[in-house]
Amino acid sequence: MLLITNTLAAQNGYDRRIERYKSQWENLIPNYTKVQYAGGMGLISLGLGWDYGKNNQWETDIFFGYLPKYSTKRSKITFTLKQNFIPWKKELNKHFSIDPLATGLYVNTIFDGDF
Amino acid sequence: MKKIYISLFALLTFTACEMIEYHPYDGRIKGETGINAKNIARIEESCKGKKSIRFVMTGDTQRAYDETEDFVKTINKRNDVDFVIHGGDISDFGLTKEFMWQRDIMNKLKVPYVVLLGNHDCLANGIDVFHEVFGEVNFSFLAGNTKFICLNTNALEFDYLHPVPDFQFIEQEYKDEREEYEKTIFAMHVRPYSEQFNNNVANVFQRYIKEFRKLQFCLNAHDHWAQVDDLFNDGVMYYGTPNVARRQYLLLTIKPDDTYDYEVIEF
Repeated sequence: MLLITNTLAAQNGYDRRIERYKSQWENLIPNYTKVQYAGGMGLISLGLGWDYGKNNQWETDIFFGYLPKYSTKRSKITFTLKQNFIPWKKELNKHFSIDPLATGLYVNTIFDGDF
Repeated sequence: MKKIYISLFALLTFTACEMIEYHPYDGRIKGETGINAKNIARIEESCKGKKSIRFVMTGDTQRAYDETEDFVKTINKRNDVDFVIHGGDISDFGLTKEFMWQRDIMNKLKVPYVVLLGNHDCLANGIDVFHEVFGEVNFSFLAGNTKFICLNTNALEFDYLHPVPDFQFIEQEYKDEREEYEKTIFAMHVRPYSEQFNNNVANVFQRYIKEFRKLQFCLNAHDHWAQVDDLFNDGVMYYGTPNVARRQYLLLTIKPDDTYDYEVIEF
């Protein structure tokens, strides 16, 4: 996603306000996407998130998951809100890194009348 | 791109172990299913022709896994019990695994057992799991000359699309023409006048069940303690089973002279 922003320094109060307003909205754009297998939130879940803090150790994710019906009457859609803290990240190569420890809390709900 | 697929495929190898859970309510049932039907066949076979039968009742084993294990061990020490009735609330939250964990403990019983539907078992998609693991929510079986009619009476968990109690089922049972069937016992999770029962039909229910052949008494669970009540002041006793966490169970003996014995046993 490309955004063309005015890189010239804000000249006056009005420009500075516009800059601040635009950057506040830009901060709401998620920084990454995630795919989650199982994890108590569905067979497969797709999510977006924001990372922040020193070394981007803090993450907040939102997932939508799909759960097949198995022995129940209907397949289901689930929703998860997840908060993570990842103290250490080790880069393996240009494409992959490994998180030796990931901690977090999440709440999950199912979009269905019975839940 | 290829690397991503390789690593995703490698992750799938973890599916073999028990640590992967799709969802607490996923309804992925592993292990034995159709328990009630199988055990009813065993009961009817082993009790055929008997004029005296002795059975145990328990219930509300929800989350009391240790006590349920102890209960199974203590019943297995006896050699005078024909079968066990579980009055319902085998799960506390209707979670898929709860049904399977409890089934695996109860399967260690030497004698057959049947499980009724409790109100907690209706939570979330518990009924779907109950259907697969145990069977129908209304069922009956003939033990010797006594028919046990096991009903779903958890009216508060259903809307009017699903009649609870199901009087069509009760009528079907009433039309039972078998000669061997001489006496009747009704079992249910919640008893009339409980907050869960459809009390609009409490009197209608009682009137109808008294029409059955030699109604002995009724059994219920749900209230978590041993109860002995002439609920409608008409001589029909309602016996409630304590929950297994109390370390008590009901022992009932149906005798050939149309009387019966009842006892609360501690373990």
